[in-house]
Amino acid sequence: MSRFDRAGVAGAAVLVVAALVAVIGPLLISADALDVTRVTAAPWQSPGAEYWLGTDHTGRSVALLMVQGAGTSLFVGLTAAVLAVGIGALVGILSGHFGGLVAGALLRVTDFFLVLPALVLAIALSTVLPRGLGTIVLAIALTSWPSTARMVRAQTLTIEARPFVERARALGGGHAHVIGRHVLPSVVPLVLVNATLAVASAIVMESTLAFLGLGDPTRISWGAILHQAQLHGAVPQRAWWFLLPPGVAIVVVVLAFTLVGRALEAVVTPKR
Amino acid sequence: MLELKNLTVHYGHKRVVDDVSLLLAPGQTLGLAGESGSGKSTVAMSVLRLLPRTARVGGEILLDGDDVRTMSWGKLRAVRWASASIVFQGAMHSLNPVRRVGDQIAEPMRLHGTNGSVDELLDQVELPKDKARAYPHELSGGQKQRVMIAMALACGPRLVIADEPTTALDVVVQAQVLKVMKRLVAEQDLGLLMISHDLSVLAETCDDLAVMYRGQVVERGSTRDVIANPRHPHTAALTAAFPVIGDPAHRWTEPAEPSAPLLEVREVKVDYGRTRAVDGVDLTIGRGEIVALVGQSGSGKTTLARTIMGLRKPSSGRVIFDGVEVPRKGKALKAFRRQVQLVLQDPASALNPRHKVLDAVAEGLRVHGIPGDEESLVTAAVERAELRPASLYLEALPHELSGGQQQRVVIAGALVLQPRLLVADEPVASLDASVRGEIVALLLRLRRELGLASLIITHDLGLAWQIADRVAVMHQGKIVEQGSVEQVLLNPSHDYTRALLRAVPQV
Repeated sequence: MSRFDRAGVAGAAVLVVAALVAVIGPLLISADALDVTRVTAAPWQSPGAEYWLGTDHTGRSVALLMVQGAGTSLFVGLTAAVLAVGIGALVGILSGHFGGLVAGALLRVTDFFLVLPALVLAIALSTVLPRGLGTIVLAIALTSWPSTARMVRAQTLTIEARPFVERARALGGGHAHVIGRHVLPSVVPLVLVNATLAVASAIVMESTLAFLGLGDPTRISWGAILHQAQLHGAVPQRAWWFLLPPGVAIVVVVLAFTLVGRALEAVVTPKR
Repeated sequence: MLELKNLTVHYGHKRVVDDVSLLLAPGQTLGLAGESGSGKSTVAMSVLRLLPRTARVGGEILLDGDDVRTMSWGKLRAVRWASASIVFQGAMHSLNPVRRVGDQIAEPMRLHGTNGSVDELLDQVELPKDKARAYPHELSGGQKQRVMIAMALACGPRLVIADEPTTALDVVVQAQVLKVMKRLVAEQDLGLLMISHDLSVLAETCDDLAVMYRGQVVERGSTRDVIANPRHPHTAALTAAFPVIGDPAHRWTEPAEPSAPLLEVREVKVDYGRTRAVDGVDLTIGRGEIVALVGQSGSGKTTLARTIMGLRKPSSGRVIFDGVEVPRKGKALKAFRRQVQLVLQDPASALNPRHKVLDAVAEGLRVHGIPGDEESLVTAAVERAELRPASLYLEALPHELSGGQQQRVVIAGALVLQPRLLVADEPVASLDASVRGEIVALLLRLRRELGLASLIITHDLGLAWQIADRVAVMHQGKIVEQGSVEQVLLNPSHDYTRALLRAVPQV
């Protein structure tokens, strides 16, 4: 097993654990434990036997917040990445396959989104649109598809130049045939790798937006916990247990996605 | 000067070169012939110890009496290029694209501290001095190959190894390069070890010939004897693959009856931007007729074929198939493409590496939604293309097949649609000599059994002699001469046809 393989397997293991926590965790937590009006613990309690990661400014367990937040962070990261890569792949294949005016128009739109500062656009979108998970997903997806589009277009162009595509055309194959039978199967591995890497950046983006207070106020996410911690003075309280766990969790999950993406990349990239 | 004693090379457990012994005296020219995978390039690379680390080399390689295998690194460096140098295959890949060719020619002289002038070397290979300041992409294929030769001569070696120096060059340019090499060998009394799959190229330049087959030298002797009286069946197959123009024994096609025209090209012009690739071409192909379209690279023959297939729109003129103008789009074009099929030069890239043979052959059926049992139709086509029994091949991926088998799959993919015309772009150019004959025979059998007409596009006049009823010679976008094979190839009337014929290496 090469270095990448081992790193990839380790990343995959982390992701499985994170996914289990995100799916099963919320089922085991009673609604009372996260309700500020019903919690019994004192605020700003440091980590101990009862509260592993201490409590926040209202006395809620940080450990339970973390578990509850995992689902939101992963969900937003995954859906935003799938949406972004989907748009990117579609635009990339269409512009690569058709060329000419279609490609020109699509590429100018791509360039437009590519040069816009992603964070600024996402902030602008989430202030204009109604607040909610959907808005965040949309904001992230709209800002991160252009790089995928460029890459998929490049791959499409190299495939289109191969003689077997010419043979397919000579056999009478139309656009749908060439795209469906030749271009798409060659692009899919690349798209998968890209999606994995895109999830990592989407999670970071979600955390950033939530940290800036632009997230869905009704849901807990890792970024939102950081936002709360910053807002309610975790630093002057020296409540490191309120700040550190969400930060570390984000780093670990993003790293895991990156490692898995890299390992997949090594697998699908032809040798030579 | 160079002596190989019982040279054996293994890659892992695979024996690539098996007990080869060769002797080359100063001033002698030796040709090493063989197909891809016969081990001929491995022999060449072993002389300068250029094989990858994974190769295990046995036997002795004596260069001026010293064994290259055991030479110290410093000694080996001194020997490389100063006493023996290599003209590598494929000049376009062996030159650094971001450096001027003059600097690249000077590089070995600088490394070895020998004196010499780039101008003089360029002069020797008949290139003007100012080309030293050119970058590789500014030179034509033949010029790049001559730069490679100049580079090989830079340190005044006594032995030059040329590995397929003229593949990928067309006939006229090949003749020029061979002429330069021949002259240099004679003038400078060099030893030349030339490697090629093309016997006629070796016959043109070398006094002696060794034929390799599966890692072994199976025949060795003076070129004339070996070619005239081949003793080993493999040598016979190699010589048979290079037809002699004018020799009735190499004319495999039966004369066809004059027939009604199937495809007519009228005054077709095709432009790429401002360049006119095809300039007013008239061409007719009869039912069941085989027409060869010959010309140098860049003459517009491939563009013409694409236009006939409806893959490119002509700027003006008409293409008429079976009395009806070829439609330019929509369902009618799709229906037309069922009738006319394309066979490309390099079968390895004409097949999608991810598709099994079954899928590749069935692709046409699926595109046209042809009813019937797909598997039995595919099996019939594959067996027609002489891959028997078909069941052995249907599940295979292209990389598991040999070049000849891949080309048969491409042909089967065309046959499955029961076309009436086959357009074949250099159908045998990238195939090995022994396979080439089989594919040519297959095309002729398809004509006999199915009445399939073909347009064969080639730069190889020998192929035209072997297979075609009529020949059309294309030059700078125009057809300069056309007529029956005998008339055009034996009594050419146009200067360009004569020049092409002169350039064909004679065995």
